[in-house]
Amino acid sequence: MTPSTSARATVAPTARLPTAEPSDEVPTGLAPPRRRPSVALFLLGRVVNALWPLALILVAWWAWVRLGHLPPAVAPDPSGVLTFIAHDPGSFALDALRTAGVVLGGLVVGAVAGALLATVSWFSRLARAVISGPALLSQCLPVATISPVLAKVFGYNTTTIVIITALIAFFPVMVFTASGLARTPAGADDLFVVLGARRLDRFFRLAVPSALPRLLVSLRVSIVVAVAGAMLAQWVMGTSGLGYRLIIAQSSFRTSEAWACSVVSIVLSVILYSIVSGLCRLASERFE
Amino acid sequence: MSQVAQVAAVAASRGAPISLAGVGKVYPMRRGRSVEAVRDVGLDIAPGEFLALLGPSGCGKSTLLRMMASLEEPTSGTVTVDGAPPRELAARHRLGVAFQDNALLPWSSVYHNLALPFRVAHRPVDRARIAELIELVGLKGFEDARPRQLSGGMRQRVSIARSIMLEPDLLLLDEPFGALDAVTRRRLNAELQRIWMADPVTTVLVTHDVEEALLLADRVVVLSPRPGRISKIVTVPFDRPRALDVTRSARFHAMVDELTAELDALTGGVDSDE
Ligand SMILES: Nc1ncnc2c1ncn2[C@@H]1O[C@H](COP(=O)(O)OP(=O)(O)O)[C@@H](O)[C@H]1O
Ligand SMILES: [Mg+2]
Repeated sequence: MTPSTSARATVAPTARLPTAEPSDEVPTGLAPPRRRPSVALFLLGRVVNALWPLALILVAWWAWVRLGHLPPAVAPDPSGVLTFIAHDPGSFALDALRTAGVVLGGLVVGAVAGALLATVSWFSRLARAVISGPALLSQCLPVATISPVLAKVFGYNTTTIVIITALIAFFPVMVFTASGLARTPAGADDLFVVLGARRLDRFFRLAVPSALPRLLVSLRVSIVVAVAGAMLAQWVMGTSGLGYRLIIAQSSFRTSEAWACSVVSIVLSVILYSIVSGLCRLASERFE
Repeated sequence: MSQVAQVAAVAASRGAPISLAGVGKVYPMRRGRSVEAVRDVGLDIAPGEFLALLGPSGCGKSTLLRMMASLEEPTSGTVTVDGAPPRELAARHRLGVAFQDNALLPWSSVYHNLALPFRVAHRPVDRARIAELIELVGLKGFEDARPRQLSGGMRQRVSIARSIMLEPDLLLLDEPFGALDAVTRRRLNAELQRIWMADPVTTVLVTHDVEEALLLADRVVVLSPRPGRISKIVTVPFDRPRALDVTRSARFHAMVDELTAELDALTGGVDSDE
C-alpha cells in the first residue's frame, strides 16, 4: 500500500505471468515506473476532452436557428449568446461559481448521507427495509414541489438549496454503495467466517474495499444530477446563482441572457463531471 | 490410530481431533427439490493426523470440508472439533483454511493478505512470522505484489501461507492445487509436505488426485459418488519425507493402482443414475 507500490501497480495491470518456476516468475511490479503528468495537467486534459462535443452542439444550434429563421426572442443564435457572455464574463463566472459551490456542497453532504445510509443498511436488515421506501420516494417528488416546502422549513437561503441538491445527489451514492458493499470477491465471505472475523472487521476490511469502485462511479452520476438539481432549485427559490439569473432573465424576456445562463450551466456541468471523474480515476488507480 | 500417530511423529504433532458421526447433508433446491450431497459419514480424525478425502468430483468432498469449517451445518448427525462445534474453533481464530480459488483480497499486497489473520484476530501483526512464511513458501521479493500480478501457483502459496499464519489447531485444504498444471502441482505437493512436517497439525486435504493423497496423507478416505459415503479407508505406510524413492517404489505404484481402480469402479456406477 506504499505509494511507490501503487504507482508501480498501475504500470501493467493486466500483465499475466507464466505458471512456471518461481525463478522465472517476475512480478510486473519490478518494471520501471511510467512518468505520469501532474494531477492538474491530467484533469485539464480530461476537461478539454469532454468539452469538444460542445463545439458540435454550437454548430448544430447555429444551423438550426439560421435555417429555421427563428426570431431571436424564441431562440437567439450562438454567436449572439456567446457575445453576450463575452460582454460580461465576470458576472457569469461569479454566478457559475455560486452554483458550483452549491453543487459541491450538495454533493459532499449527499455523498456522506448516501454512504451512511448504505452502511446502516449493511448492518441491519430492518434499517434497510425502513430506509429503502422513503429514499425511493424522495426521488419521485419533483424539485418544484418540495422546494417551497423545504424553503418554509429551512428558509429562503443557500442552505436550503444545498439541502435540495444533497437530496438529489445522495440517491445514486446510496444505491451504488449498498450494492458495492455486497459485491465481495469470490470466496472472501467464507474466508472471513473461517478467520473468525467480527462484524466490524468484515465491514471495514471486506465490504468497504469491495464497495469503493462503485462508490466512485456513483459520484460521477451524482455530480451531473446535482448540477441540474441545483439549477432547478435556484430557479424555483431564487436566491442567487445561474438558476436564479435564468428565471429573472426569462421573466424579463431577456432571451439572450437566459440562453447564456443555460450555456454556462452546461459548461459548468461538463467541467465538474470531468474533474470528479478524473479524481475518481486517480483514486481507483491508486487503489486497485 | 496408534499406527497413524507413529507415522505422523516426525516432529511433535499437535492439533484438534475431529469427530464426524452419522453426518448427512441435503441441500434444498428450488421448487421443493433437494440434493443429497453426503450420507451417513462417520469418521474420527486424530490430533496431528493428515487425512485425505478422495473422490470423484461432485461426491461431496467440499461439503464435508465446509461442515468441518463451520461454513455449512449438517442436516443430520454431528461434526465436532475438539468436542465442540467447529464454529467455536473459528471464533478463537484457531482454524486455517485454503480454498481451491485462493480467496486472496485483490486490493491488498501479498504482505497485507498475509497480515489479515492477525488483524482480524486483533493481534499485533508479527512481521517476523510473515517474513518466515514468505520465505517458507518461496515468495521472497514478492511482498508488495498484488494477487493479480502473481501466477496461479504463487497465489496458492500465499493462500497456504495465510492458512497456517496463526499456527491453527486444524488445517483444512480444499483442492488447493486443483487448478494448477501437473508439474507445478507436484512441486507444491512436495512443498506442502515440507511445510506440514515443520508443524504437523491435524489436516484434512480434499483432492481427486490419487498420487497427491498418497504423497501427503496418513490415511486416505475414498468417497462414493453422490450422495457421498465412505467406501474405503486406506492407511498410507510410507515414512516421511516421501521423496522420489517412495513415489517410484513398487508399493507406492500398487497403492496408486488400487485407489485408481476403486475410483474407476465408483465412477463407473454413477452414469446409470444420471
Ligand atoms: N450450496 C449448494 N447448494 C446446492 N447444491 C450444492 C451446494 N453445494 C454443493 N452442492 C451439490 O452437492 C454435491 C456435492 O458437491 P461438493 O461437495 O462440492 O462436491 P465435490 O467437492 O466432491 O466436488 C454436488 O452435486 C453439488 O452440486
Ligand atoms: Mg469441491
